[in-house]
Amino acid sequence: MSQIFPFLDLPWAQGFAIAFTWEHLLILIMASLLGVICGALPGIGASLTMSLLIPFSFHWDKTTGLILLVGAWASAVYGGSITAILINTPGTGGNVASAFDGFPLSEQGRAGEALGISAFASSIGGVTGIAFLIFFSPLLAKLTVEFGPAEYFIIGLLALCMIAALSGASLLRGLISGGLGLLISFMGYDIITGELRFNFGFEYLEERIHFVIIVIGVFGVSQCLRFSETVGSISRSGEVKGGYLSGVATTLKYPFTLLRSVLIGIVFGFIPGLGTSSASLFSWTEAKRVSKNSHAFGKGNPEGLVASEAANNAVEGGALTPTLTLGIPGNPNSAVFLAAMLMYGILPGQQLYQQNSDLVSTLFITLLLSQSVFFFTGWIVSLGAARVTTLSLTFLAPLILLVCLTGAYVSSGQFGDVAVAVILGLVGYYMHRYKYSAVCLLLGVIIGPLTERNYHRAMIIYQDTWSIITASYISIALTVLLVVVLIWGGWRTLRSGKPSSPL
Amino acid sequence: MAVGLVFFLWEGESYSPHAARLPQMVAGVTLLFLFLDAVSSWRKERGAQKASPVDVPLPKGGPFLESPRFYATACCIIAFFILFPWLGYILSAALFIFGLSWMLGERRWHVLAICSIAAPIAFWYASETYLKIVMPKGVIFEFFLR
Repeated sequence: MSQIFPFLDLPWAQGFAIAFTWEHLLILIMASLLGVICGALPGIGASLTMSLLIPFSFHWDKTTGLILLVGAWASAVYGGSITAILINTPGTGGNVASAFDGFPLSEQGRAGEALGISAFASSIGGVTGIAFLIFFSPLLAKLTVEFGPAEYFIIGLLALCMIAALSGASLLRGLISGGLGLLISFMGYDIITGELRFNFGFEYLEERIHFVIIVIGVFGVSQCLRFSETVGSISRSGEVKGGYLSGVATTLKYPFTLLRSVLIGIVFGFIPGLGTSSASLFSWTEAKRVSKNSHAFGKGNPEGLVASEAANNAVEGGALTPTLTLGIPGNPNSAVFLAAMLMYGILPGQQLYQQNSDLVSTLFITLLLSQSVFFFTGWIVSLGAARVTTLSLTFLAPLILLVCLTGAYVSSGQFGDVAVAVILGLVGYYMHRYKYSAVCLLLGVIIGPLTERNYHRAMIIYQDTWSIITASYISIALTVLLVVVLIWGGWRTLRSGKPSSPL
Repeated sequence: MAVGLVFFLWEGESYSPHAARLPQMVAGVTLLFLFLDAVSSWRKERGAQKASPVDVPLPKGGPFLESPRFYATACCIIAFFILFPWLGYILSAALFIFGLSWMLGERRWHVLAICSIAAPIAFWYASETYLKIVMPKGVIFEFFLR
């Protein structure tokens, strides 16, 4: 039995005793506060926050060091939603979908409630994701092996078509935006052949444009350009209605959305490469598709915020599954965590459960605890943060713009990044104006490298033929689903007549 | 968008067919969709004109006319980008905040002063101290330091 469920053999009592010492609790709270703040800053994100903390973590023993990283990690993933909700500038790529309904809620003066929804849904998502990790990690890890390059390639296309069909704009415009996103992601050197593509003679474009720069440009800078045309404050009424705790009550109204989003997050997490952003976008899209109130999505529907935030944090538990069991990081954050583990001399896999059982139990308990801690640290931060939406945009818009431009520069220290963020800001501004989906563009950028890499591998394996479609039962099923989504999306666009407000 | 995509296709011709296949396919399909979208928009507009034959005048300056505040913001961003390497981060950011806030209608001197001085210094300090990223001091400042 313990072969299938190794958690049964773990020394849980010892883990509790280690995790609940006052030093470890204090470190967890401090790391959580730091994580919330760093996660909220565009361009920083969870992986950079953890990278910055790794040198500090070596001052302590491996257990304390990993507690520090875990605390910052969980909170930074949540922290990105604060700026997404308040100023429509996601702190991390994973919080992009939180801006769709979170920011309109702030415009309605419900910023406090939106922050509460985000924190509580994130906590629930995080706790459930970690619980899945504890119970089912070895079983789930075996399932990921069934996915080959052909399946990954088709999953990439399927995700793009699904978002294009449901993002609010017409299917055609969604696909155009997605195509543009894919092309942006193809810029620079080809990963497999080493060929240089689409650099137009610029040395700067020889490397792929960093994802954070695209988020800052398409969402942050373009939103600031729209802010500059607005008089008054973000909250149209100039006040903040609804508190943090009312967000908890609102979240509990959507138990099925919460459950579905958590499952999506876990599945997207344990398949390496799919990432947090795809999970939250897909979860939001699914919630919109299923909801009776789908027309309110993107206009301040709390259900949309619940869906994106629950999935976003559940990903981390899912991503840790292949990280701890196979040594394959599920996303960049777990890659940094894996690196820290290796630096401490802790090897992932079956031996992790056998040789470091006390550490594993402490780690699991701390992971669960960190999901509750950021709910409270988020509360502290939100007490002042929600007031931002009542400030005058005459000085707030320049300040946010400066944060975005500084974030773009700080992410790699190049002037080119600032220029690209500004250009993409203009692109995002005009896309919003002419009803092209910025979300599809972003998803294209996210899945581009994964899709291209797997396309190359699949073409090598299947000798440049389209038999990748019939490579396995999974790929056949995914292709059929892809065709159904395209037909359904086209039918939906024709039925609605004209494109609705884009995202 | 269409012009940009033609560039993508044109660039794609210069490398081997294996690597080129996917980007070229994506560019080609996107271009086709753009054409279809343009045709469908044109047909919809024509249909709407037939339904209400009264001429609806275009806004002055055509579809690209933005508000003066948009242009003010765009000019300030360009000015910041040009001044950044010359004046360094703190000075160019301070001028950017002050100029843009003023153009957007902020007239309270204490707000202008606090925002344009405190924010750049705070961001500079956080970047240099915690993120270990050296912000540009500016060509002029470094010249005087010599």
